[in-house]
Amino acid sequence: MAELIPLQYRLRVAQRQQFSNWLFIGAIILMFAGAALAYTFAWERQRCSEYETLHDEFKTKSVIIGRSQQLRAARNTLASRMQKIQQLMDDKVLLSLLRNISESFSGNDSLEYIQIDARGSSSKDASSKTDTTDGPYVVRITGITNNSSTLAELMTRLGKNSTPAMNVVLETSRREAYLDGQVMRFQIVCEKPENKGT
Amino acid sequence: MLQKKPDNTLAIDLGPEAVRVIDVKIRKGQTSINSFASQSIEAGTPETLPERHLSALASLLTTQRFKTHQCIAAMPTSLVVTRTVALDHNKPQTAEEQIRWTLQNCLPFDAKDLVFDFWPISENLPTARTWEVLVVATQASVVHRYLRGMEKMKLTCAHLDVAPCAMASLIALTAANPDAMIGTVALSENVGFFAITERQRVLFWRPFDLPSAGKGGQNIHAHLDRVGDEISKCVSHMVGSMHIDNMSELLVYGHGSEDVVVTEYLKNRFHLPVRSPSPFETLPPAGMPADVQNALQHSVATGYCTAVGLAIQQSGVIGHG
Repeated sequence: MAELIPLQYRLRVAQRQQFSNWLFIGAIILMFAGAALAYTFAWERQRCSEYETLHDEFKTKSVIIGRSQQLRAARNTLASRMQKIQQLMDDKVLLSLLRNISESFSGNDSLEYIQIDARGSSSKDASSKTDTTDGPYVVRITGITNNSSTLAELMTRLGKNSTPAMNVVLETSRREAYLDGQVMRFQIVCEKPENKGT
Repeated sequence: MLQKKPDNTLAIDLGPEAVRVIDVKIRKGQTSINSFASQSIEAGTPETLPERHLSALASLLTTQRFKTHQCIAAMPTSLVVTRTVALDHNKPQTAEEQIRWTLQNCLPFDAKDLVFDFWPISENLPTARTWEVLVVATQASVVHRYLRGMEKMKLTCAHLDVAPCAMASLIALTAANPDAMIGTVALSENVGFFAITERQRVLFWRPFDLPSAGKGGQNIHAHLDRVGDEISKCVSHMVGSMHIDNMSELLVYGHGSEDVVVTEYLKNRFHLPVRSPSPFETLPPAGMPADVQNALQHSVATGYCTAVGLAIQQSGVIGHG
């Protein structure tokens, strides 16, 4: 047979065919790559959604944790307050001082202001907590009474009847008018007597 | 999908008066015909023949709705120049250069616009000084016009041949003795050619005109002497130049080939067996659907000789060139 098609045309056709083959292969590869990308994207979206779900759960749980921490802190605060109240309740020195002072005041005397500075012992053991006589204390009493005699009687009662014992020192006293008469305004300081060694 | 060699091919005969198309399926060397169709070309000058061919082909593709995009085609002999060229072993030029040098003196067109193919028609003996080849040449611009036109129709032309070479493959399967030298006469309404083939190889062909021939079998009777004279000229040339005169039979195809008067005339004039077989006889029965067989009268079938030859070429019966 005779072949009258020029070589250039045959080459062009072969090139076109090769090109279309490569184009087809490229399209297949692109299709696979696209599918892989789509799968990866979908996978990533799924992971993101799972992460968001977990993050939400974590946030919810963290709120609960925060609340529990706040609750624990409040409970600790309350416990410390309760402990302080318990300490105050257990403070027998203070109670006995208040009782002595209130018992020492008679109908001629009137208490205006009292300041008690009572300190526990430096040791924190259980025995020291119960035995509070070790700690120093200072009681400042401000009030009024009829006259100097009633003042003297009051100081006597405070000094004699007090348990624990305390030194009663008159700091100031002066007469002043009160309503339609004269009263004696005083300020007394009661201190724990100093221990004397044997 | 990856493009492999397609099974379906359009075998297109760009004949002098009509375009004939066969949609063939070639699988494992077996050729089967899906459909066939033809379309007459419009009248016009020889310069516009490619455009008229392409117009008729486009009309055929539109009306018949062929889905095949690969084609093989045969150019008309009127657009092809054929020469026997003696190549000299002693010349420093290559065979192509010697052929080009020889053809430029006899071409009716510019030698730069030349595309050709050739094959040996004599034995290429190392002891002989020359050896002869048959050259088929045509204008490259004409070939490009055909190829561009087919590309516009989304057809990829895998092979462009000439009718005598296409028919050589058909004759090899049709002839009683395929190894013998066989004469072939192909006739259309206005032109024809006589070719001599041997073992699927065209040794020589000569186109001729039938100027006043028209439609109808009776008109060919008036030109039988002209046809006979042309064949005689060819035979004389062969005897004189190629020293061969042992033609075994004469096969007649085309317009008027079914006419007993024509075959009897040729038989009596050349004293050779003359046959007018249908080109479709070479195909296996399984390759011919029933509707195709029923539609193929001999007068129609014989016109498809070139197209069938092209289809047989594609199925693996390789010729020369």
